[in-house]
Amino acid sequence: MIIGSLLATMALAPSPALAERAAPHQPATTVGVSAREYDFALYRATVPAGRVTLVLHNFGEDDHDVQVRGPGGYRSATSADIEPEATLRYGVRLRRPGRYLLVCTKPGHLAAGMKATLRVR
Amino acid sequence: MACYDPTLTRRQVLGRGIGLGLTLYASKLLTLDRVLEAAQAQAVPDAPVLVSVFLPGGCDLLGALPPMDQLGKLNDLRRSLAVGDEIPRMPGESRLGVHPALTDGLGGGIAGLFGAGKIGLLPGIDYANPDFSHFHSRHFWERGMVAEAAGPGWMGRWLDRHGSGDNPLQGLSMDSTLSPVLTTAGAPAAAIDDPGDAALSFGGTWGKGADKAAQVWEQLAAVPRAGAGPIAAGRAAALTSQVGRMLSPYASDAKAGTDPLAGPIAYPTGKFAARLRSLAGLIAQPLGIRVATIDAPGDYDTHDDQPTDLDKALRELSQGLSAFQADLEARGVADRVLTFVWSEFGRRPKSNDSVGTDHGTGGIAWVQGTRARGGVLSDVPDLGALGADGNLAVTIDFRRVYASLLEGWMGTDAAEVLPDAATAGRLALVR
Amino acid sequence: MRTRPMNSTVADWTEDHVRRLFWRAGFGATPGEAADFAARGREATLAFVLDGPGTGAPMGDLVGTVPTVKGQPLDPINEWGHDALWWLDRMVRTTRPLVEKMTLFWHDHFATASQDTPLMIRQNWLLRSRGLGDFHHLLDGVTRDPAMQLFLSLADSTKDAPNENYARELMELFTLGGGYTETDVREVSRALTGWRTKRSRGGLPSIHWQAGLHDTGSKRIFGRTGRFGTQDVMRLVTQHPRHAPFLVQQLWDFFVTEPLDPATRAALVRTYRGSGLQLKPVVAAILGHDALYARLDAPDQVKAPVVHVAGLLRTTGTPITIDSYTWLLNQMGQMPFAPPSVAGWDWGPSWLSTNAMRARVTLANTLLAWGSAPLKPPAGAGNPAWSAEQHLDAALAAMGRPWLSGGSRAALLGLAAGFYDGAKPRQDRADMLQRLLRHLLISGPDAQLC
Repeated sequence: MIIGSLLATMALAPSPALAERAAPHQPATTVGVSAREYDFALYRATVPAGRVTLVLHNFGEDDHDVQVRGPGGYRSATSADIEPEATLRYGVRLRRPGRYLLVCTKPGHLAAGMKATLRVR
Repeated sequence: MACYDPTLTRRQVLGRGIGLGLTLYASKLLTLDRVLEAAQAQAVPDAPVLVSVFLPGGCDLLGALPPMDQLGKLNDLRRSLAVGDEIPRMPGESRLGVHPALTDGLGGGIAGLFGAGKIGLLPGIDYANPDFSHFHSRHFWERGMVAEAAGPGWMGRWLDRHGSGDNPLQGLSMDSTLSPVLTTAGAPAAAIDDPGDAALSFGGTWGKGADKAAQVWEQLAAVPRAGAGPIAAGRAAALTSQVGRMLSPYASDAKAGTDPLAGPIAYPTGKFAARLRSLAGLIAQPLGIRVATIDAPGDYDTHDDQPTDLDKALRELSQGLSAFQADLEARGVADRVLTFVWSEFGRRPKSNDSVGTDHGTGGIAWVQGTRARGGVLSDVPDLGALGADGNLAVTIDFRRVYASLLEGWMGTDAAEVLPDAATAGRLALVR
Repeated sequence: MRTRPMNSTVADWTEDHVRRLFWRAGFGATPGEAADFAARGREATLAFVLDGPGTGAPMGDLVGTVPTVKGQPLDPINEWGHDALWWLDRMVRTTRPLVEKMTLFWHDHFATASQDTPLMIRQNWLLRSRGLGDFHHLLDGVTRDPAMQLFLSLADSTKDAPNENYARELMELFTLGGGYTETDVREVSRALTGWRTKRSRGGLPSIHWQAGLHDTGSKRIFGRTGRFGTQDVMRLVTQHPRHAPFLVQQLWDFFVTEPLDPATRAALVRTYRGSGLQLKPVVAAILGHDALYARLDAPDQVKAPVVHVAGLLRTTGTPITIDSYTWLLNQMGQMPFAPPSVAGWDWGPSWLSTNAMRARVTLANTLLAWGSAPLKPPAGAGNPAWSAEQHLDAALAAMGRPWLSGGSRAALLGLAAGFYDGAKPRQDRADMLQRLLRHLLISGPDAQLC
């Protein structure tokens, strides 16, 4: 995995374990997400169950949004629109382990392939 | 980096907004009083204004204005970008289709303006043996000559010849930096990003301390310096503090809900429209604006996913320019403003494997305004007579258009500005 | 490795020499470094700049306070804008500033933007690890780099429809600058076909070779014919006679403001070719050249925005504790990981439009109000009993003793002398004067030059 080896090589600062110890309650896990026509890319493949903050950046030319769909019929609310070149922080609470799907609800975008998988453990 | 190569000025392929406020490019330091005085003195009420609108990336002629009388040939070349027979036609010009996005906007957008006789189209515009590099081709258009050497832009040379020595607002880029079209050898010019935000402040000072800060800033700026970098540092410091005061009459006040540049026309959202709106407002003020530039947003370099990118770019262009035109008319200044829309080259007739098109020849340009000569002013390239490399024939040279703009619109001898003026020929672009 | 200057006539080696070298090859010198390396001499200083301290990680160690934003460590992959802060911090704290300066050079040279952050950081690490090595090796890495391939449409360029975008920039901007034809562009684009994008479940793209999509036919490039592929193109462009003069000129202009004279150009080209396209010897020759040390009393290179910001933090020992640098760098016209186009940024005096100059004033406002010590002055930083000279000296000391021209010094002393308008100095006015002096030392025209 590219990111994993990079983290090891560069000794990047963030360590979820450290952050958890530092905070009185479990902090949200931040997941970088890019949106463009018609793909999402997640910068973290797996997160612990709990609060997740998606940091979405729109590299594309059209507006996008995001909805998280998961086990047991879980559906998050749909985020606000993200304009081209804009960044949106969007918080969700993913309690159950399993496979979640990020989808764009703009007409035709999901059909064009605009989805990505986030694993919650 | 660009500074290694003194022969070329490189422009951004993608517009990226940086900073706010106004940038002045002056041959010498000007005092505020002198600037305003010069601006007032030069503000001849009827002086013509030329606005350059650049479509960065190389706009696709055949996608923007499909030749409906050659639709079969076009669709043979563009299997992944086929044009349906149902797309709109240019009003009154049945042989020419129009990208649906160009019908978007006030009064039917660009197509509507064409129908009203306010647009003269220049399909097939380019130069002989075109260079397919964005930077080279753009540089030639910016300078008004097919030569790699560095130097002022073609509108900048006009300012050097006919502009004032001390009114930077005479040449205005609606951007954070001056367009290479407007760089001059000596005449001052300016770049405005947001007329409402140009004031300078020194944090942690107030009262008399703030006054002293402003004074010592002027002294630091005026320290004698030698060499391009040091002179640029001193000049930037001096002009930065001056322009805040200079533009203060035009600053909007969100709290009070006032906007001195507000006009009667509602513009679409986005930075391009906001800049056009500011430009229309400033042109209507007695500031002596003669030439202005603005870069259109969007990605015209449609190597891949052309349908999405071109639609998006042309829609924003059509909405913005139709609002701009309506605004100029509503403000009563339209008869002295001509807008020239251009791109650095055209695109290959044959589509590529990425649902896009590569760099080609025979591009697109138009003149727009109440005094523009409407219609199709050059030949639409023949898809049955492509060049050896599969590119469109060039049906009009951009230098012929420049020479015609200088003489037909600005009313000055083209030979003063364009080295090829004698051989370029002329074309009626204005009525 | 060659550290001896090509044209050594400089008799001595002063703190001014050290400051010039450290700014041009890095992000400035602290007062302690200036004194230390002036004493060590020219050869030892150049060797240190080129090779680092000789211990620790080859790409440099980070020393000093780890950066934080709102008390949390940086998350350069996931938090938007933290990628820029992460790199800025490397510039501020690295033991090998030249490595970061070269990474910046290559980021401009191989300008890439609008790609996923993990890919951009991966590319950044490639530029860092190969930036002083073998150019051929670097170019090969960049050509295979996912961020670059996706940015210039080399990914998914196939034999049936080769995309010319990368082929053109490879020759125009990366290796030659000219001397090729449209046919060369088309043939090189054919030779470079065969790379394919694949996406993980999480959507992150990667690049794979797919032989079936590569054009195996014969190509004619620079007058030579063969069944050329990616490796051959790398060899052809780097062996082209225009390549060495082109690259040498770009490196020279990055470090030196004096024009490159033909004799020096020829010598640098010989060094570069003679080493087998090794970058370090040619960089060493430029950093040792007398032209780099011209007009030591009047610095004339305009600091690029990231060099200005990193230099302020580095020379004052100020850690990163706020994320304002992200938008400030954007306003100043240089957002790392987001160059305006494949041609990179316009360097030199063009950094100093008045918009950008305003942003540099805003930077000073921000640092003095929200930054960390020592850039942010504590209450009581000024002393009402100080003379004008003492006030200025205190401000200079706090700001890492930046260069100040004689004229600027006179103006600031005049400000300090007249600041109280003849009234009895009070603590709050002395503090304001100290804030203002510090502000002007980092925002004024002199502060923009190195």
